[in-house]
Amino acid sequence: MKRYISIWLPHWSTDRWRRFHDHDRDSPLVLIASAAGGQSITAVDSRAQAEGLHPGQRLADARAVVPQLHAADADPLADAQALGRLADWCGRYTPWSSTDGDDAITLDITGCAHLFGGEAALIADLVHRLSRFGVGARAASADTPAAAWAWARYGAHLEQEGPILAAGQSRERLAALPVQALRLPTEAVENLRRLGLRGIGDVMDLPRAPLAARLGREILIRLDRAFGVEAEAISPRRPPALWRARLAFVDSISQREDLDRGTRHLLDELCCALEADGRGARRLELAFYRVDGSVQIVEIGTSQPTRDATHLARLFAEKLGTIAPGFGIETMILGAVATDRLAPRQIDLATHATSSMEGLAPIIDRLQNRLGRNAVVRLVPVDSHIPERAVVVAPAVSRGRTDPSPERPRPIQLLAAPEPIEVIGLTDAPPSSFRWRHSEHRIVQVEGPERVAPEWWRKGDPATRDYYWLQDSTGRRYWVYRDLKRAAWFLHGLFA
Amino acid sequence: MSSLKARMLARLREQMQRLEKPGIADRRALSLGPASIDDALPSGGLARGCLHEVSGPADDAAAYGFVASLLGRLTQAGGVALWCRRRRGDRGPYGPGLARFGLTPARLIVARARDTAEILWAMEEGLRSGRFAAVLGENIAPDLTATRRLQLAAEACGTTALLLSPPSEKTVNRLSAATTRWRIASVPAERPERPRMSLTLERCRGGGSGAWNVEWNHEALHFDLAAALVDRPMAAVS
Repeated sequence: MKRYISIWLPHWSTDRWRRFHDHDRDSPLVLIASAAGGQSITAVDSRAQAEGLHPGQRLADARAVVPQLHAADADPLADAQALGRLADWCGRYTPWSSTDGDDAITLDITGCAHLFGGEAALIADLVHRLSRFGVGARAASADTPAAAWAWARYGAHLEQEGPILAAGQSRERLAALPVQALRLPTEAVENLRRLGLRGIGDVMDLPRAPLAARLGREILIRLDRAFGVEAEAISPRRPPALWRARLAFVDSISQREDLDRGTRHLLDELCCALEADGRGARRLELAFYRVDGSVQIVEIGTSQPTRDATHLARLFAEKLGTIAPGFGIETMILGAVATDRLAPRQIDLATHATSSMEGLAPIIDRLQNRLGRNAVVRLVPVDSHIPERAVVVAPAVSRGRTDPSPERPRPIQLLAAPEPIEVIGLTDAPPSSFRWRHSEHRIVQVEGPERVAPEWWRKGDPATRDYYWLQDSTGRRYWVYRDLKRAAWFLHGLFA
Repeated sequence: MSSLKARMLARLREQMQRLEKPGIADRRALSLGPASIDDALPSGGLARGCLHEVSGPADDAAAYGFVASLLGRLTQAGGVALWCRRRRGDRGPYGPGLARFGLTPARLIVARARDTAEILWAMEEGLRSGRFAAVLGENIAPDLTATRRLQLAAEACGTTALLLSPPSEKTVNRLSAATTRWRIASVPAERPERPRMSLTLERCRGGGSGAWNVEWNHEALHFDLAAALVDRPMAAVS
């Protein structure tokens, strides 16, 4: 059975504004935006609400009612971004969190609540922590996101009923709520009111077909979602990791050694879980939840699936320097975002060291995590006559191909792009001297040509080239070619 | 009898060492081919588990051939070489050309760094991991401290380190903790199949110096001393 929590932040915009501005808490606050005919209110705090102000009201009208009113500019974009960060912070309770509209967050707490001493304790802890950040919140739990949403807004304030809608109770307890709790559009609510249907209980048992015919399908969808007949598709902000380990501290930590120790502890735990399931980690995410409510995340990747905690700890050690603990870190959560199958294996003493690629994975990972994901590579030979296509760059862990050394001499350095050279010599004959990068090279020996035909089956292919091996008077050897289509000479490589 | 036992024991030890760490499979010095070159070096060849520095003139790839041949020899027993270089550049090592010098691409891993500091870091990590048969840094001219770090890292894990320093007049007098320093330049060859180069041993800890002209044999994968330009029309030069 799934369980969800919906967190309603009734004064999110004003609470957020207060966090960043030192403002007298006793005077009412409203946020305003310019609208046709003057400035109008977009958000009110609890005090302003108590005075009877509401969003949509003209600022001038509000000032007339409450002269000591403080007004500030609204910033809906920053509000939405901050709500996203708050949803990330909720990752300390569950890997599955999502923003819902512009003033709510939905959490999937299936199988998570026991970690915090049950749903009631989790909700109390959540609301308490948010209030410490200066964010007023109401949260409720239920079997579906829609029911939790309804209960958080319209039911949870009934003190005696509490914030929890126990499993299977949605139907009977939501019946008492007004139809607005179904998240219906205003005109639908208005229509229902005209019909004398004010509560959910009034509509939920009506015959479905006439109801839909009269008021549209919307109401049926909303009812089904609330009662779990139809699943509501909500995607979490971050893909939840299937393998996770969590570590909460009684006293917040900030020392680097403590971070290392915590990381190691989590890795040991996670690697045990991975081993039990025959998986190896490919990508890991380590999130640090600070006491001030922000989250910092570091990520590492491995070239081959692994569950070697020591190796992974070393990879994380490189990145932990970027973590700023601020006033302290209260929770660390490690998740394996990507995993691969990794069969349990006996350590074979005879082949342990000789399978060279196996032993290289840790060091390749270390290099890759510092230098970048595509920074550690192999030069893999490919069947192509075009010199620049005869080698492709492949990830270091791919199996190398052992090719016999080429029949003809090949340059040891290839220019990134062939460079045009000025030649002196007869047409169609190899040059007797050429100029490259402002220096003159007198040719004393020539070998060639070696004709390289274009790969006609590929589009935009270079023209036919005649390659020559040239040796100048100092003994330096060059690989130049004549582009037959353009009748021009290019330098393509240097021989050792 | 006891000497036979001792020999067997020594051989077993060597085998075990080879099993433990592919990087220090063979601690004997690396022969450069011609005996006269090996004799000039105190350990009878290029000492493994040390830092060696190689440079050459600008726009001359002979030094690349030389280091490719060294990496090829060092990875012959089954190891992998790490080649650390800058990500961007107007030219790069070319697989088929390296293969001609005995370094098969399957035995090479290239680490592409953003700057010199990252190249040095990657080299040191590679050396200290003990997983590579050799580690090379391309186109960097680190100072004395940095080369000393590399030398220590190479010694600690027995991995051979190579520095391919950029062609610059400044590098000649640069202080370096490298065990040997070589200057490699192309010399005229008779045939494309047999490239020739001059090897100049500029500095060698505990040894002397020297200069040789060698010819690369890509079939046998070794250097031969080149007959000193006898075939060339010397008269014209004098």
